Amino acid sequence: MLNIVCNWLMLMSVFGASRPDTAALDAYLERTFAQAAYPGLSVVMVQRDHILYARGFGVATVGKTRPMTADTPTAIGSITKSMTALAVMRLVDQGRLDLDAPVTTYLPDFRTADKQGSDRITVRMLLANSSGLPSMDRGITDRNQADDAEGALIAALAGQVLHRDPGSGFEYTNEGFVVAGAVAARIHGKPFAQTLADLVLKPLAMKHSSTIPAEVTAMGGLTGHYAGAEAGLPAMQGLASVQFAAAGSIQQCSARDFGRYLCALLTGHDGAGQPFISASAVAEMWRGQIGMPENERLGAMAYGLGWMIGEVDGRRVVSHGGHAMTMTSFAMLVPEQEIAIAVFANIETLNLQRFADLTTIANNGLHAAMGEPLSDWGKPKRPDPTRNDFEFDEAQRRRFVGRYAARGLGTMQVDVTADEQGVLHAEVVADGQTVKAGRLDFMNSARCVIRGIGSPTTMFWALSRSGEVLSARYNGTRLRRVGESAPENRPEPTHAGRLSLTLAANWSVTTDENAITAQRETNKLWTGVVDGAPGPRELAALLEPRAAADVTLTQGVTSGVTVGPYYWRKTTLHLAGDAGATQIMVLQRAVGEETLAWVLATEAGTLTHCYQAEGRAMLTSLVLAAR
Amino acid sequence: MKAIVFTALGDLRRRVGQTAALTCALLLSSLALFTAAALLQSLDAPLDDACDRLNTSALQLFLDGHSDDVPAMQAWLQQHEAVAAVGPPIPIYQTSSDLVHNEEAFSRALMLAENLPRKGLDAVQIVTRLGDPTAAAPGLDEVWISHQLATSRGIQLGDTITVPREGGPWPLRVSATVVDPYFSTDNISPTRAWVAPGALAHALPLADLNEVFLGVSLHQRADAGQVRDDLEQAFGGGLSGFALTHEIAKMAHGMFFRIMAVALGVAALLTLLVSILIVAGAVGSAVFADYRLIGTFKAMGYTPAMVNRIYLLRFTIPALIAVPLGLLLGWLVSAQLLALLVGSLGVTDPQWSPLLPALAAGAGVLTTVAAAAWWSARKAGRVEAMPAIRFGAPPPRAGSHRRSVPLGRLPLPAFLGARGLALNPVRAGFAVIGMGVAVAVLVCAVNLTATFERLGENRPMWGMAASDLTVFVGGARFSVRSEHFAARLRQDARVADFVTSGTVQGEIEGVKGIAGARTGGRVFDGAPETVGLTVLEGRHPEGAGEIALAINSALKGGYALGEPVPLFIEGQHLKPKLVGIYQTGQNLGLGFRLHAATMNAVLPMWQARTFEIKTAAGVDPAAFKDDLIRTYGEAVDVGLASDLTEQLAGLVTGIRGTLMLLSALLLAICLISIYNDTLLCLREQQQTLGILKAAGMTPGRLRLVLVWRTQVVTLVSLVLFLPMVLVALPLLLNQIAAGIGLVSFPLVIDPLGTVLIVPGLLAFAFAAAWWPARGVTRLHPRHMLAY
Repeated sequence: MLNIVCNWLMLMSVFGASRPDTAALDAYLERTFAQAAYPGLSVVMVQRDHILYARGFGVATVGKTRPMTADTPTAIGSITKSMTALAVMRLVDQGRLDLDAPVTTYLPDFRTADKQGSDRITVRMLLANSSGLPSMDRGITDRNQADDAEGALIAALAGQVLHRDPGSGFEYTNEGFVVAGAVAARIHGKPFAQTLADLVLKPLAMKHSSTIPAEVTAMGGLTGHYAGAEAGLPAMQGLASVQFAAAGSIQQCSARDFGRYLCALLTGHDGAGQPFISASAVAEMWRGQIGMPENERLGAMAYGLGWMIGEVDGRRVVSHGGHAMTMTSFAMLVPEQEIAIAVFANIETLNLQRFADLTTIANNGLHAAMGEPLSDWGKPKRPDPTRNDFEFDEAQRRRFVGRYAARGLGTMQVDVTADEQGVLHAEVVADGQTVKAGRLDFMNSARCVIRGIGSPTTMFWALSRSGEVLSARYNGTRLRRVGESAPENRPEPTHAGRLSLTLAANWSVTTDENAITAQRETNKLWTGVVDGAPGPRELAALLEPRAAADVTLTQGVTSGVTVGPYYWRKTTLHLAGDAGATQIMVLQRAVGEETLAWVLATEAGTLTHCYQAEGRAMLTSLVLAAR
Repeated sequence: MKAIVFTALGDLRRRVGQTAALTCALLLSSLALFTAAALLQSLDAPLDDACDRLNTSALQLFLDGHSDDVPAMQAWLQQHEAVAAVGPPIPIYQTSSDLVHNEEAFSRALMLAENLPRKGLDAVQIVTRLGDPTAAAPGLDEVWISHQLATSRGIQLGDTITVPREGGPWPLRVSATVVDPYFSTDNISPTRAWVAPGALAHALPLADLNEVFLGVSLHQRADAGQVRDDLEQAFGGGLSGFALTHEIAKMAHGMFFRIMAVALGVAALLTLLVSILIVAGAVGSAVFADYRLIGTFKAMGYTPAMVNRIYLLRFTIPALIAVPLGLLLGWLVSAQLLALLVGSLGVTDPQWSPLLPALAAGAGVLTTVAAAAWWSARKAGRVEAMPAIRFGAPPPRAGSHRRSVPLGRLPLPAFLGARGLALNPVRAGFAVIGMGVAVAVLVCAVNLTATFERLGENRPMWGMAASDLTVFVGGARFSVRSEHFAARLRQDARVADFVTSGTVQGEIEGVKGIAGARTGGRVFDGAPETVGLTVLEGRHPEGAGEIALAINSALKGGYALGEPVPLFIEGQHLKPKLVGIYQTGQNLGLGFRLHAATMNAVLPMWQARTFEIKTAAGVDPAAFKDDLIRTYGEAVDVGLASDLTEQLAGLVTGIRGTLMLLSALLLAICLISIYNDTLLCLREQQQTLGILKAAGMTPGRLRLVLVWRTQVVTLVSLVLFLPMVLVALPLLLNQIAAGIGLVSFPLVIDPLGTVLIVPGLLAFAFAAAWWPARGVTRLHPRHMLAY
């Protein structure tokens, strides 16, 4: 009898809970969106198994008319971690995976340089960011479609040393989730993308979500925006096609789909009302596994399994944010109230001092819907430390005006201009893409921030004792001052069809419709477009037929690199035979159904030197015009 | 002359034991002097020779081709008047993560360079290798490492060093060890290793193919720093990479060996001094014992010079035997030591010439022995024939007044031992000085060892904070703010005290840093005294507009307390007032300290992010560290003071080994000295001892008479020299270490170790005298009385 009364009281408390006021939420969001500089926002709010609210604000791309809607796929960045954790927990529910088993139980090849340490890493530690794995983040932005992405990253970990004892402390690593995703994939027997689809996306009918680049593109996935001076700067290429390390951070998902996901977490059932995930599994995900550094804006938090756990405005909150270069996201659940909200933005993080952050929008969205007073959670708790009253005199200020450019693979340059009032402005262009713009606000003679709608970014200046501006540094890249006049003896580029390439001096050249071939002494270069997706050896054979023949061939590891606007996969071959030894560097990238390739062959032993002396400049000059 | 020779040879035959002892002492003296000379001669030579032999460029530039215009720099350098040649750009790659060797991580940065032809510049010399002995370069997945790295890490040929990289680890098989002069020391990081030409492009991502090495050969090596400065100036500020000059390499390479060589040189001179004392004592003893014989010679018509020549010959003959033997042994020992010293250069054959050390040591010992013998034997020439024949001993000194020494309460053997000393005060004095040398070396050895062993505990004396933990608050994604962390620490009962600091770079007018115009400084937000940091003069900066300079910065710039110091920092010109001068053993004694208020004036958002924490009594720093990591995770980087001690273990072991070697050498000399002195004493006092034996004194007590004599000598040496050395040692070290900034050398006196020298040396002296004193058992009273 007592049990019946208790159960009835519980039911009453659930169904008697006030229904969130979506009109109030909408009004709050309208107001907030109008005051902020987001090009577009998409928001979803759920209660138990119902999507109460799903709406988009603004446009998908600045300057275009396509609206941002609740069904627009947006890169959710690190919120993907919670999905990976959910996939793993479903396997735990099925009794196919033990959270506390060493990773090597499922991935015998997994190891770091210190094997004794990595042998102690458990699946739980991977999902709790306590594995001690180093956060490399290199390779995560490999924009090629790589079926072996997880395998490649796990192989790369074999040469890394753990940062700390497994389980001893928190360190946020995408790599841990990639390994966890690989564990799930190994147990499920399919690649990670398919595993996630089978275990999470399909059961929840998340039709506007995928980790597969082609699918994302077909769905109309966004490329996002960089933060400009007063508005978003459309990104030419976002992370839409990124597949590498998908389990850590590269999921594209619409707000409405994400609402379905939140419902499943709150109820444990899928959209069809079938049991989806056990309450104990969800409880384990939402239990603080390890303490996180206390955050000034967000307060004390612990990390669960793919989720952050904390107390916000007097209630226990489960949350996670995501940052995918040109898009941001935040999801927040209040388990005790059985409500949740997610906010996706199609722009990088905005200036927290000027605009409401997604964390604040999400939290206050819930407060607004529940008729509670708004809170300042997520807002900065102190004035902008980069602001002070330092001022240059006009003459000194003028010394900064000019163009600063980096050498190397990237084509970053910063243009500093002065307006009529003498205020300095900067525009940062990387690989043909404006990635930052704003007013230069100096903290002292050698340091300033670029103020726009985005987070203030610091620039450092090298000055001579007499105050002459020598060079600048932006995001770790050194930028030399560029002279006023352009070099006169710059060689003319060679054209072949859509291709354009500036060759170094003394290279003889032949062209055909789709390729440029050049040679100087024993060095040979071929660049062009070929059909399909040939392997490195086939591409090498275009320049050096021996590569296709039966010769002793050693192939280096494949790695990725961004050169100007292009993302390449690089492979190197070493051929040995009667005709002497040859080294061939093959760079390739998919261009639709074709492959753009750049092949440099040299006498063995001189490849690095040739690349550094001449190859790099020729590579960075390569342009493939659009059809 | 023949008579003189026969007389001298006869004397030698009669006194075999003494001759043997003297020969041994001179042998050791020659050995030590030769070794010291060889080491001092060869200290700098191996690096210079290696650089000459391998045509190592005096200026080596490591540049980032993505940032620096390498071809333009190359062209500019070729035009510079001080430059003789510029090598081709050699592709390099510097590792940024820990390496792995035999499944173990080791935090050593490697600079992988492609072994391309370098126009004859910067060649490497292969020490050991696997495979084809004619191969000019490593294979595609092979690496040639410096012999020093192989030795210090225990890396064998055929082992695999794994380099982390994108795409998976890069295993490189060690196929050779090489001499690469500048990188043959642990003091320069990264360590260069050589890979196959083209290997970097083969194995690494494109983004990692940006660095190059440029060797610059100069007409004068000393111009390297100036050329580097000129290059920086011409290309708009600091270079993207770093530069290595011959001088810096030499300093880094020789730092430890220089100290070692000076110590050996001092030891050699001390051994020579002891040898002089032995000779002087032996001659004095011989003249005393031969007094009647000398009188007879004089009566027979020997001139003083002829008598003098007998002793000269008598002591030069052992020297003529001992010195070549000593030189031979010295050659063998030096070869071993030099091989050890230059082992870091991977040189198995040090390629040194023993001629100069042999000449110096041989001539030095022979001349010194001859001079000492001649000088000491002058009194033999002055012996008057008749009194000598009549009395058989020197007449009592006219008018001399023997001071009454209250020895009556001493045991009889002790009394007799002390009386024996009083009979020959000159030789006793020599013995005291000889033993004093041993005391000095032992005091140095004990306290220098303690100083370096406790370097981890006495860091303020070296310019470092005396904290139990050093915490850097940062973090790639999740960080903790300094003031929050500080607030937590203030409430933490485990924390006794802490101070925060940060590092900055600035240009001080008139002062150049080690690698360019800028000098590293430290900014404190709080009182540096909290963690034991002190100043030599003045005080720490307490607010904006104040600066403290490291001693060598103050000396180089010529700044005195109260003067303004022109400082260019954060693009701004400041003139803080010099309020303090401190010493530091880091950066060759260069640097500065500011208060946070000064930094906040030029950069308001500046915050100190390094916390030097002293834990409360009873708190385990290691457990505290674990808790900090558990609480703050990636937001903190925690180091323990004990980590430094572990890092210094190698240095301490080396220093301890050197000092032990020196002590052993000196104690060996002392052993011989005591042996010789005891034999001399036995001979001088055989009459007295015969009487005592006849009177019924047991052989054991008679031995004690001789042992007590040595004990008294040792005790007097300890009383005189121990305090003297304790006073002089810090002064000497202050002079020696001033060059690296330690004008007040942080010597740690080890009271227990120093006190233990007293019983230790007495026991040593007892043992050293007890054995030769066994001669008393062979004394026959009747024979003694008849003599």
